[in-house]
Amino acid sequence: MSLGPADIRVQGVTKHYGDRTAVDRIDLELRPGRITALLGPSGCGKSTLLRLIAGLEVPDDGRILAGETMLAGPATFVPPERRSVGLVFQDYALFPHLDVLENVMFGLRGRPAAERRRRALALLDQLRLGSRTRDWPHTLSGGEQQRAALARALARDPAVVLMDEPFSGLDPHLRAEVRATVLSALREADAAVLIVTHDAEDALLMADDLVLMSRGAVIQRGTPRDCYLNPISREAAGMLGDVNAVPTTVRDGQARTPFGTASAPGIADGDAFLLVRPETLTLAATGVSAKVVAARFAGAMNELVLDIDGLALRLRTQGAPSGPGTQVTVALDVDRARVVPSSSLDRV
Amino acid sequence: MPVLRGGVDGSPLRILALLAAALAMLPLAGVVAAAMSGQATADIAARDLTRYALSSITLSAGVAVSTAVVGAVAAWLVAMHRFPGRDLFAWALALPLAIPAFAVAYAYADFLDVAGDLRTWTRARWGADLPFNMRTLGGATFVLSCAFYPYVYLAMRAALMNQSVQALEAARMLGCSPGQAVLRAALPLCRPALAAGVALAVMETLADYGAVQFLGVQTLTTGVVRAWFVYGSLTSAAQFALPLMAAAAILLWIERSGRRGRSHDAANIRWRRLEASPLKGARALAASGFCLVLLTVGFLLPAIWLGLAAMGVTPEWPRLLRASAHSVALSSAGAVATVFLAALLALGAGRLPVTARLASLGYATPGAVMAIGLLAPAALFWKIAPGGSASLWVGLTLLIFAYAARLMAAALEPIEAGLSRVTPSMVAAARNLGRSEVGAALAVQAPMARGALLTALLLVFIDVLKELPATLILRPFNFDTLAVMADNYARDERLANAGWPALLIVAAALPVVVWLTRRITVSRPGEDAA
Repeated sequence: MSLGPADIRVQGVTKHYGDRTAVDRIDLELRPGRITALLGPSGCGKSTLLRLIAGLEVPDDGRILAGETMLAGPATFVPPERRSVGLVFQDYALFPHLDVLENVMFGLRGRPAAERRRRALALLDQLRLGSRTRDWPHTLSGGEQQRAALARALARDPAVVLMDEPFSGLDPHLRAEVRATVLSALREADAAVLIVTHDAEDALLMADDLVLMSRGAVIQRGTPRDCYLNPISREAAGMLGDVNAVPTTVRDGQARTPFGTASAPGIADGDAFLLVRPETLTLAATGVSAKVVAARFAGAMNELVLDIDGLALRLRTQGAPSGPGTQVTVALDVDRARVVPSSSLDRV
Repeated sequence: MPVLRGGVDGSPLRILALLAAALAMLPLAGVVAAAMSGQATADIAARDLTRYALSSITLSAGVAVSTAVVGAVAAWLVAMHRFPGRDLFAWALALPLAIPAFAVAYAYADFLDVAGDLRTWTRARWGADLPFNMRTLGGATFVLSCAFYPYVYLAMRAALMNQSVQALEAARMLGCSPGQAVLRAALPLCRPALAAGVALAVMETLADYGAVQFLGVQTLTTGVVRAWFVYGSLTSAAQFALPLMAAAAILLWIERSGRRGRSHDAANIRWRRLEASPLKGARALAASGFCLVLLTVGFLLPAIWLGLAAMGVTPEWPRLLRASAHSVALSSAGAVATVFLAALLALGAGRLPVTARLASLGYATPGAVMAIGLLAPAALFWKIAPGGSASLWVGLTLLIFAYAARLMAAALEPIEAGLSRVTPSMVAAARNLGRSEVGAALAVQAPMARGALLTALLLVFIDVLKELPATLILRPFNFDTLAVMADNYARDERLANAGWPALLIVAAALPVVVWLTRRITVSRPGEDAA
């Protein structure tokens, strides 16, 4: 995919609330047609960053540019209503005194009535709300409200679409369906998209580019696949899914582990972790012997908690479950595990 | 929630809110300035100040206790029981809000007059006079309690109805009998509402001029008006006003704390309606009887007595019609001005909580004090626009301004409640969709709060209709309202004539009061009152 000029560039943006630094010198670029997911735990500053881009907060330091136009920077602040940014709020924020169609037309003021109507109806059709245009927002289901809010944000043809925890309020069985509809509408709009979420599945499934954030700072960025397979720290690995952290020691770029020697290129000598995803451990004929401490049935997979010389590890297998107390042998392809320093203060 | 800034150079809503607050606080500043300005203490001695203050305190204490008891019992009966007539009493018990306190005073003074039919009849029948006399502190306490118990009743009834049955059920599960559950769970939860209702009743008591003046009881408020009209001393009037302002601040603080507690309850718990328990036999009779007596004493008897008395005289129709037109025009203009300023304040109040509270100080401040505070700035205006029709308009403007400053808080409360339905993200969404700060206020906040704005308009309308002391002090020469006209007749002891303007006030206020209380009755937590 060709990388055009960034629609939005965030450069060294910082925001404090009192003593707390919500956003700490963040750089970010959003490109047309690409979906960026910003993943992090609650309170890590990701929603604040989104509000900064939307113009709902004023940065304390740094710059935000749209193309060549400065949106926020030293002595410059473009108010939210004059930015080409569409924002979908976590609580959707539909106006309860307007029906669905009026909500979508709200941002189209100044255009001929017929054109506003046509544009709003087309978007509502695209988001499968064509039959609910004259209904009140509170009569809509969560998924419908979410789609109405997206239609409202897209109506102004924004260069950037921001979505704050878009699927957090939805029932699990609705999420996949709503996600698919939203994804196709976003692809159609060809805008630069930033999705803020604390849900790893949403981020991995939707993002072209993934940004991991913690305590106000970006800790890793890359494609979802790259971030998942090559975490740079225990924290980054944990954000994207369960991970076993096996304590180890690095010497001369090598880490000795119960499963053999793992290569640790570029990692300084000293304490480290071998990060092992539960699904990369397998029950095998040969390998390390372990005792099953607990076994849980989890649908498609069984999850075992194993004890290897006092070390607790989780393993996921599609094989037959073994009861607690059973002795098993476990194998690991060390090339699919990653060695990271035990204390990671790196910034990206 | 982080606040939304309109830009680096400050937000227009914030500036407008500050402006509205400054306008509301101007008369209060005027009082303080006037009290500091002179040495005119000679014409009213410190002894008088103490005496007036003592009777104000005694009167307030009496009204506080009696309205607390009567209002709370009525609310408890209506909210938690079923008995014959309950649905009627639920809103009818608020009707005394439609009748000005001075009209209640006229009715009872006349009804129980020494030369009146009732006393003449009891003297002839039993050879003994009835013991009570209306023209005493006790009589004034009775009259004002009749007029102001609805404040306690409405606050307590709302608190009891908003209470979730869960608190009571939890108390039962923890070993309380039904009676104990009410005593130990329900009533303590309503204590803030009781305090708020009583605070409102006491505020009105301190603000009352017409009733106490007619009954010959000297209070700080009558002192303010007397110091101005009899002695022409602005400084003395302001000095009487200062303790009233201090009392107002304390009462407002009590009332606001009560409000905080109240909203707390309804917001946090899953709400389920409290089932009213049916009363039977003698208990049902007693409950109906209590409510009927309260309604009769507080509303029916004074209204009917005034009506009967008024029937005996031919009203001066031209004067009466002119005064009616003045009253309606002033009340409408006052309501619009007040709600406009209160809406500006409410829209910016999220960022200026202290300012909003300060601007509400006027509500607890008697109208007479407001008027005194405006006299000094008024003098400036009179100089600029002397004589002729211009001075009429200046006078009316000042009067409307006094109403707005006085009733700002009454309008602010429903408007703030209405605006609380607008979440911060809705405002942010409007900004994101291309509206400026003011544009968002017009397109989202104002329409969403329109029911609340209407409520505020009506509340202020009936309050201005009944207002007397500020109107007396600030009205242009020969500009009579219904309240002023009633007061004039009453001063001349022409009570039957005073009945006509008083009844017209009731006739105008009654439908509004009924509509407002029924609206409160049907709206419940989690439902939209609009």
